[in-house]
Amino acid sequence: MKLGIRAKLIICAFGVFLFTSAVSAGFVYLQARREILYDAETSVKDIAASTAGSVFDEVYRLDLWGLRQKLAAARANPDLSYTYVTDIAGVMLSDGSSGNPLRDHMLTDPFSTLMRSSSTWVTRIEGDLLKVGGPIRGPDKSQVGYLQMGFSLAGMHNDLVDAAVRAITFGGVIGISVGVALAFLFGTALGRPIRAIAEACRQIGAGKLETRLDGGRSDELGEVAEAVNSMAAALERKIDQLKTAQEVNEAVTATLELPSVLQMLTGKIERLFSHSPVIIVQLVNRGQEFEYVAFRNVDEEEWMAEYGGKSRSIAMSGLGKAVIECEGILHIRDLTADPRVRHRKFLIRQGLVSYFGLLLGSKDNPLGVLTVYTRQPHDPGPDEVEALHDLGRHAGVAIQNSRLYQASREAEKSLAEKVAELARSNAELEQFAYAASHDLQEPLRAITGYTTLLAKRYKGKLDRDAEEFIDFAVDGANRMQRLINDLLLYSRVGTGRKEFTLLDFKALLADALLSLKAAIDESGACVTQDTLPKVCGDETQLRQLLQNLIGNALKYRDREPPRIHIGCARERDRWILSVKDNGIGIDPQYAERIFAIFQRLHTGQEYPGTGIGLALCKKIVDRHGGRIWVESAPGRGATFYFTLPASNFSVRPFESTIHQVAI
Amino acid sequence: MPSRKARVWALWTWLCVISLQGSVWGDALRIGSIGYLPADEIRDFLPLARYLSEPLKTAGVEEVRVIVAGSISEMAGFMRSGKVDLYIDSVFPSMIVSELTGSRFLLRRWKRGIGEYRAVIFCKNDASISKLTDLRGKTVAFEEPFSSSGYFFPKLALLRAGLRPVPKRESSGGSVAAGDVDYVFSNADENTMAWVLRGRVNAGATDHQTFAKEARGHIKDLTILYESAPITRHLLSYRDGLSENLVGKIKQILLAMDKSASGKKALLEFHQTSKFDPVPLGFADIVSKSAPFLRQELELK
Repeated sequence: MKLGIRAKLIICAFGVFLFTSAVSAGFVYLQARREILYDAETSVKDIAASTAGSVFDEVYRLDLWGLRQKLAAARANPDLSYTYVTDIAGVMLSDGSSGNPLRDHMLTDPFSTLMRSSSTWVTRIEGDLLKVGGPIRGPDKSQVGYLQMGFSLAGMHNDLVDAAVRAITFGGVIGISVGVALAFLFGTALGRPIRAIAEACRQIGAGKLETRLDGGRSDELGEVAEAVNSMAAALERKIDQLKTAQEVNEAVTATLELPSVLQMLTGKIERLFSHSPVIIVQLVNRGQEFEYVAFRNVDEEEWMAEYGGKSRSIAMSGLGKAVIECEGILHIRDLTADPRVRHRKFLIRQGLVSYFGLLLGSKDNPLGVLTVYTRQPHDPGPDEVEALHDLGRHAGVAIQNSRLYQASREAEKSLAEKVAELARSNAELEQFAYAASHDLQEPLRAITGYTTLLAKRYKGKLDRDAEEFIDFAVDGANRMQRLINDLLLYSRVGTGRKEFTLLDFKALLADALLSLKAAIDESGACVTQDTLPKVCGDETQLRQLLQNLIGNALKYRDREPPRIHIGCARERDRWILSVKDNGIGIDPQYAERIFAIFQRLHTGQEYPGTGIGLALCKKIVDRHGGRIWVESAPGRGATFYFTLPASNFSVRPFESTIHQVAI
Repeated sequence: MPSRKARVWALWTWLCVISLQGSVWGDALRIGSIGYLPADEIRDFLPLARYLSEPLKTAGVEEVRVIVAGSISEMAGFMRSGKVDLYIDSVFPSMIVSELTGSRFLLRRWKRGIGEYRAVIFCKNDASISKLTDLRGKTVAFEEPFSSSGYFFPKLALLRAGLRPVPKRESSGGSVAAGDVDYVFSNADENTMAWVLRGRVNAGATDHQTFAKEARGHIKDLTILYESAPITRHLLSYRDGLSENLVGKIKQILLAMDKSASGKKALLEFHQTSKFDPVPLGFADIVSKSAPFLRQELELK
């Protein structure tokens, strides 16, 4: 349950007054008890003495009947619990009842003993009884026996309870009423300002930082109000600083143009220091010189004329050097009195009195100095110093970014030049390879034709060595022919530049298998396939890709008939296609090497080939923006994977494997 | 300040005056009793009066009243003058009234289940008294002058034993004449017992039931010197001249009281009366034997 301060105060006051009332009631009860007991003792002594006087004759005459009658009359008193009359020896005569069970018994209880040892009336409280006992004496003071009476304290208790109830009722009602009223007043007096403080806090929390409380109170609540106001003011300043920092940060990140960033920064500093002149210099020439990069509220030409002539760069000296050496903020309250100040007359002429210099960057990497001059003697407060540090940090970042930007632009320019040169070189190389291959074909066809003709026409007419030499020449010419054909194919991948079209990979596979039908039939191969997608690419090149990979699977088979599976899977925005076989497999260490041109793992006697097929495959896949790799182990077959773009349909061939990085 | 006795007498006189002023003797049956406290007596007798009033209407009795006398002589006067028709009391007063007025005994009254008792004279074991004659020169405590068991029959026993009981005189200084037996009235049986036990008197007289009750744990310390023959506890007498028919009717009603629930209830409220039955046959003998002594007593009084 949520209780307000007022409710708590009321409960607290109620409790306090209840406690006070209880204590008061207890005190009153004890007082009343003492008084009532005293009165009761006095009263019972009077009653006992009176009764003793009235029964003297009966005791003296031993008239037990008469004694009983008188005691019975005495017991009409409702508070009287018992009466005992004994003889002088303490032997019971009558208790006032007809039964009189204790008659002739000696009373030996402590009180009876006490009574007999006393010559006056004695009283004692035992349990709920107030006992009184004393001698029965005649007019001549002669004692004939003892009278003992027991009075119930119930009546007295009732009186005490009545007194306590009256005290509790009276004191409690008044006390609680006063307490509740006071608590209500105090609660109201406290609750209102507390609610105002709570409301102000809510307003401040909601962003209304201009909210302020009336600080008219001199008590703790006044202190709280003052603290809330201070907190709001501090928050306002902080928020302002954060906004400034955010604006500066956005400006710094939005542009890499140093002058514009610094212009904005100096504007913020100017606002902070009431239109004071602000100058920022950066270290250049390996930290040997300062270069002016920003001016605010100062005549730039006049300043530069005073300090560096017409040059924007000046040697690192004076207060700027002192700032870099002091590694922090340098404050000079009176420029005219500081011996480190040069151009004092100029500064006086400009009306500048105090100086603040802040190191930009760090001690290990000083970037420059931010300088603020004020026209009045000024000691910067903690907020100003903090704000100056923040702005200085941003200025440093801006200078750093500017330098990085400058460096990156230079690097970009250099890279672009190299890329262009490389592209030109590649194009020339491809052109050369194509031209060389094409031009080599003509004489090679002549060599092949004539060596073949020589072998056919002179077969059996020459000696065995001659026939063998001719066979070698024919074979070499044929191999060169294949080599040149493959080289042509390879170079055409880069030079053909056909537009990509949407292709049915299933149809492409069918074409490739048709081309390889003789080899498939000869090897008894079994070719299976997944559901194949439609892809975007160069039809000729992709068909060539499939022919090469399936052809390799047929060629590098083991003793078992080849089992080839064309697989396909979708992964995000690309298709992963695969050609899996059960052939001789490839040692994983050669998984990269096999895609390089003219790289072969077997001799021509083992498996004929030019060493261009897989290089051609890689070039085709690269051109389609994909990747090719192999997973295999010797004797366990091989799976060639290649990827092709899937989601973004594009008819533009992939121009180059060299990516231009946008900066 | 008047004494208690004086106050009682004044009240009794006032009640008598009131009773006489409003009495219509002709059509009412009046039951008489002797007592110091008329109000208490009337309260005790009212249940019986109310019970009798209804059945006696057939006998011409319009109402039944209770008349309280302060002494035997006054009761005798009432009976003689016809102001009391029925008188219920213990044996000794009844016999005196009968002797004085010629009233006749009609029924015996049982109280608390007891119809008879015996008078006893007792003393302490260590009193060197073992028989009545040993009381010669001693002091005996009687209850009160009209007590049957506490005075009349014990005194009769002392006389028959050849002793001469005489009231103790204050001037005797405690000495008793040889051959005499001094007696004092204790006013209550419990006083009689206390006085004997504490040696204030040499012997005491009471009935055997009271003796057992009051002696309590001291009964072993006491010796009974004399025990009388059974004595009727209470008697109902009727005045001489009362209509025999009415007497018969009354007798019939009272004898039947303990047979009905309403009768039992009325009996119980009538000072714990158990029943009424005919006077024992031997009682006439007791009366005749006691007559001389009774006359002597009347002369004394």
